[in-house]
Amino acid sequence: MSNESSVMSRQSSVRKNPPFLLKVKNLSVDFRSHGKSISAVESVNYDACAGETVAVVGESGSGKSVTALAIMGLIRKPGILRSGMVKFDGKDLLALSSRQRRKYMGRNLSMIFQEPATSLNPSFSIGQQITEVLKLHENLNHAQRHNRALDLINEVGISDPVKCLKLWPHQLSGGMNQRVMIAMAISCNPSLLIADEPTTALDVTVQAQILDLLRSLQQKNNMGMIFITHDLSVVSNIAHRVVVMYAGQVVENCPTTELFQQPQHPYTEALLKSLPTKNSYKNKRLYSIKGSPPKAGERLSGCRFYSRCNYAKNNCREESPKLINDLQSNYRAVRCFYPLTNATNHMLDLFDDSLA
Amino acid sequence: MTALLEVNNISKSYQVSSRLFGATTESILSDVSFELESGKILAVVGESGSGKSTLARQVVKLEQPDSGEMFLDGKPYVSIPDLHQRVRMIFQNPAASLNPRKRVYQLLEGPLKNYRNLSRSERDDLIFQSLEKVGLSNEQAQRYPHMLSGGQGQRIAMARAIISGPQVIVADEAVSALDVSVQAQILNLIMDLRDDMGMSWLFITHDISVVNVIADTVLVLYAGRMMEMGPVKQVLESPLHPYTRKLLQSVPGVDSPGNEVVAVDVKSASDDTLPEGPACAYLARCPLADKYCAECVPPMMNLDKHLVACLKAVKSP
Amino acid sequence: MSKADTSTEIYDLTPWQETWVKFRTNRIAALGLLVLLILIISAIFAPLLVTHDPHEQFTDILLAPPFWADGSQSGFFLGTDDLGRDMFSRLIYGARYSLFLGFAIVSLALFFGVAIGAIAGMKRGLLETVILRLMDIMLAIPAILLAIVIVALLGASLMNAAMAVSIVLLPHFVRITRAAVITEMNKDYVLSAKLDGSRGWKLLFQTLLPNISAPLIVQSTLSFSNAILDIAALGFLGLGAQPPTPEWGTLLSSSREFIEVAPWTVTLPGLAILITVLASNLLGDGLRDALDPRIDPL
Repeated sequence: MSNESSVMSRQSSVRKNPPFLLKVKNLSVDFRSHGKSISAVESVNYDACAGETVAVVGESGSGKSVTALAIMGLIRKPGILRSGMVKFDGKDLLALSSRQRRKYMGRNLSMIFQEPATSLNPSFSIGQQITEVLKLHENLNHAQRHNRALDLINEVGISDPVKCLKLWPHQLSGGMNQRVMIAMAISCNPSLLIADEPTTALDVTVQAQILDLLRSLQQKNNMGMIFITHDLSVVSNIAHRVVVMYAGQVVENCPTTELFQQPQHPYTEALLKSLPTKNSYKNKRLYSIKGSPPKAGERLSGCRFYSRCNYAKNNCREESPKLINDLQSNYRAVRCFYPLTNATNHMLDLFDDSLA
Repeated sequence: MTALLEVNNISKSYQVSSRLFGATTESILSDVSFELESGKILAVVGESGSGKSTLARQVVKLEQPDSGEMFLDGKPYVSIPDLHQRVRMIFQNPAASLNPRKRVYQLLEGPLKNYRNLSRSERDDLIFQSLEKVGLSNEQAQRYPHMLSGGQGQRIAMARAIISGPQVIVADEAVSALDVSVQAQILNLIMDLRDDMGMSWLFITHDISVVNVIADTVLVLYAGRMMEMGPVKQVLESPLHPYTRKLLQSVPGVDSPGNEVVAVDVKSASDDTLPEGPACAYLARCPLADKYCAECVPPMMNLDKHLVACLKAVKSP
Repeated sequence: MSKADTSTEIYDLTPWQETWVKFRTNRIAALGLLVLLILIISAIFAPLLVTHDPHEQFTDILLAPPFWADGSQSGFFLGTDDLGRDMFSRLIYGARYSLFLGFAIVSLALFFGVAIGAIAGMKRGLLETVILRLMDIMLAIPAILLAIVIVALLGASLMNAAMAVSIVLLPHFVRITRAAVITEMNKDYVLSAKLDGSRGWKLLFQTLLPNISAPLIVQSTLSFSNAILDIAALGFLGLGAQPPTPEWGTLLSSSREFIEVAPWTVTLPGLAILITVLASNLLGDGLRDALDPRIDPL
């Protein structure tokens, strides 16, 4: 796959009245502690189409992983799913019984996690673990399972599949284990893959390989992907669409190229500006967001970004902005009373230069 | 002008498994040398297993290298009694490096009590001064580490490092555990402290995109060996070593969204084994390697202050 | 914004306060603590609580049943034993022996266990191996048997029995301390304390001990109940407290021949032991949960 063609394919995937594969609506998750309820995620909305990668970006505590666990039905005590709907392929996932869900999910939806070493069972070989997944969800005999496992290992780019099946997780490097996890996740040809920080624990060179792999698998199988990460540079690399979360809320939802060219939410803008990039001029101070994100449970009235926002006005403190769809500009939404335009951006640049 | 910190050919190996008969040792660092000038920031870049944390431990004298020498201000390490005050360290994760059972005040007081004979009010002054320098208020002094956010915790770690007026601070992945929005604050603070107090930094990181923001010189480590070292601009803009090029290509950039990172040499992901006997450490993954690379450890070549250990360095584009 | 205030307060607690908040929510452990406190208070104020001198013999009222049975005597509401001594008074005084001995034994084992374990964990090497093998040998011998051997060597008395029991408990503390010290020694905060100039005992007491106190506290409460049981067992075998000392184990053994005619003389001391042991075990379990940082209050 050449570099150019994949850029083309990403830019051409503009949604025109899309059939949504996954639709998350008003999803709220609370955590209970000492009789108090702490909201971790508050009415999150996003969706994904087939063949589309949606990146969910946020800092620690923004609720990005909790949302994914809720989609998978993996919220456990002390977490409580307060409200919301998850429609997948027209089916309401949250309405299924846990048994039905397990059966349905295994085939259609799968998930990979940050730490491949802890997601794999250390006391079974790679081969045993992959065939176990196949046994659960596919109707194959022993030899077919083995062949399918070989195919899968081959598909995720491991050079010696026969040897790999005989190895144990501790004998493989982090990147190789993540490849195995991906092989297991795609074993039933799921139509949606949820990847929770799949490259965070890996070295950059390995990260590049894994991103490459995920991208090519996704295009080949026309799979939808929810890619959860804290790393905006990874987002620019893999996603068609970005959902930015802050303090348990979605603050911006936008196609990737537009997000990087023209962020509308002050938080998104600040995040982008504070990234050290290849072009950062040496020894120039980085742009930084003042303060730190609110801690869990520290929920304030008004806009949650109010205290750190450079553009905040009086009403931002009292009223909570809603996530508003902007239908004109290619389906993007922002949770801000005063979404940024080119003009405001320019102003800030001038201000910045005068400081330096 | 002599360098402030001079590290000459240090090597370190650890005993990995002791069986009934004999033990095997694994070389973690071999022949690492560099100089750090006063008021400069040297970035050490490497992936996991590159030996960069081991290097940090040798420089702050938590461990003794197997061979090689280190000098501070021209004096060998062994002859400096107050080395721990003059070379300080900051760890990756404040949640792990700050004793959870001590208040911030007690944490900052530690080095002062142990190393210097000061009155209580002198200690107070120093503690509040260093808190101010890292941008925290005196109120934070009575708090426990778990009450602080990640950014505040790392500021406390920095306050503890600067409190003894060090000449060198070794920062081991000091911004890696932080959220992006906080990472920028801490990087700015490092540059401010360098400018205000004139100390030098050995900034150890796996993230090459941070390097060009703060460092003057960069040293690239792979499997415990030096691959390339030179001024940041030169190394990042015209890298000579294939590994450095690979590292730079692997970083997804936001500068030009839509540009996919291409994993260049996916010859086989499992090929990251080290060669037996003397050979280039990067041999197995190197796209340029030939039979000469497998015959000796490539010597360090000096091309106009830009050091590189690669036989192919000159010929490649 | 009262809502925000209440939900953030957990961040403003010191580590020990946080432990207490977590402990408080565990009802059963709190009950254990309460029972232990009642026992301790009644042991301290025994002279004020008892109705009779525990050694005074009322020869006309032998083996009087407690108040709920027929033929109970007023003034002796838990009955009397075979020599006409008031059971209630003897049990209360017995609490003094059992609890005090329990504390003394555990303190002794804790002190020496931490010292030996810390040396093993911080110095490593040959010394560690020697200490560990010695502890393994001690653990390989059944506890009560080892105690009996030690008492046999030292001679039967309450003090010697206490010494024996604390020696028996020692290896647990040594092993726990050593393991905890070794794990903590590699953590960044210990490394930075070393760089800040803390070495040796200073490092142990100021940096390590507060962070390894959790397993030690839990082990202490569990050992406390073991100590009481062992002391009672030695007393029962005639190797610990000697009659007429009203120690619970001794009470049990001296009345066991009357178990058919006067079951309360055996049941009541047994019950006292049971309650104390149960209470301290519940307390220990509760503390284990409360001190465990993995069980986050949030």
